[in-house]
Amino acid sequence: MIRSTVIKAPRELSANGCAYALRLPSKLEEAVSLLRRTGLQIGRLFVLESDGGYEEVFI
Amino acid sequence: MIYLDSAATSFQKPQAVLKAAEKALKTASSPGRGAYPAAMRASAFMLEARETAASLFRFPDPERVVLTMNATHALNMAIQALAEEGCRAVVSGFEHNAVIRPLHACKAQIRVAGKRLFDDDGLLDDFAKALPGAKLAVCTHVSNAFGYVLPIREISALCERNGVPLILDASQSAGVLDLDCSDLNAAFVAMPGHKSLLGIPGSGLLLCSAETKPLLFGGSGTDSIAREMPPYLPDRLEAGTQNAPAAAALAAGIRFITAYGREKIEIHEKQLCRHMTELLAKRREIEVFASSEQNQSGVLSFRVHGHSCEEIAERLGGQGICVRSGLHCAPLAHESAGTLESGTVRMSFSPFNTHAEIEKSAAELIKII
Repeated sequence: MIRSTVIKAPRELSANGCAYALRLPSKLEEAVSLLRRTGLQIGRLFVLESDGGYEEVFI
Repeated sequence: MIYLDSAATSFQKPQAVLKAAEKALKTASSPGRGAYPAAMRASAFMLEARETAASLFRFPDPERVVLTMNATHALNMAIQALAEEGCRAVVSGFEHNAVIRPLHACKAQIRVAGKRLFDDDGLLDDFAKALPGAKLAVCTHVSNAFGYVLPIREISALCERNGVPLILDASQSAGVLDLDCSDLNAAFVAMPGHKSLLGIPGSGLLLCSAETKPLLFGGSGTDSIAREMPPYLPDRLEAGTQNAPAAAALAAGIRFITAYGREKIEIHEKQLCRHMTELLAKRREIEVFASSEQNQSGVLSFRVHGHSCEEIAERLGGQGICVRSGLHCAPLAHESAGTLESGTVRMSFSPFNTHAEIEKSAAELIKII
């Protein structure tokens, strides 16, 4: 099981504001693989850094 | 749950509204599509919605009260009727995307008048400068992001003086603030049925004092041989099967407001807003966007230094407190207020909220920060 929560995306992560995101505490790669297999289009992927900032990642 | 998102839609509905929708679903078919009892009942529900709305807003002709899907639908119809490519459209600095996007789609030249929050004099000054030569003006009665009550009577007078038709967006005021159409020179007044009029989603109103232009084309149940939409209202703007249960619910919502007292609702919501403002303003890290004048309704925006608005809304949501974060579909309002980068957390009140809920919500917020 992969636990996830639908959240409003942090403002700095969306160019046009008011986006939604899926937050995953773990198993990011597994989740991405699963979503892609279902045909769902993933926007962008970010990892929350220890300083509170976000770094974009590519899987 | 403490529901503080009534600016999005009213959540608690009077029992009479729910019963009216249920009755319509069980007894009415499609309005204007037959003369048998179930069709006539559906037509009666539609007429009742028009008449109760005309009475509440002192609008002279119920047949010029068009029932729509929502305020966005109503605003699109009004804007399409007046705007044309390249024309100048004057808007306030607090308009919703339901105004800006249709104007943009029409390729109108949008001129923004009044960008300072709660500054009536500045706004009127800007409107006076912007209106000469404009094709139309579109103005919200109350900012959905900040609760700023704009001086619409004065704006309407300026529009009349300059021969510019006015479209009024009453999305956040209908059912709460006094809206007297007999005293207001507006070409169109648009509003949702599902916010402070306490109806259900899928309902809205467009009060039409000017010539109209159909947005949707289809069956009207009348003059079927003609290829054009009928020239008369409301049929001209009501193509397709109409939402009789929503109309029945809307009529019940308006009757509730009239019986309970619209002014009582206004006073209550403003008091709740002031109460919350007082509680939040005690904390230096909370920036509250509140008016020192009497020009704010029951909508309050704030932001918390060191926390994103999305985080605050999510954590409040975790405690059962429903608020909205972000730009509230009104980036222009946030640009005017200087909050475009951060957005705000918005709390918006209803006649069903209590002061105890305000105390609890403020306490939870303070715990979070």
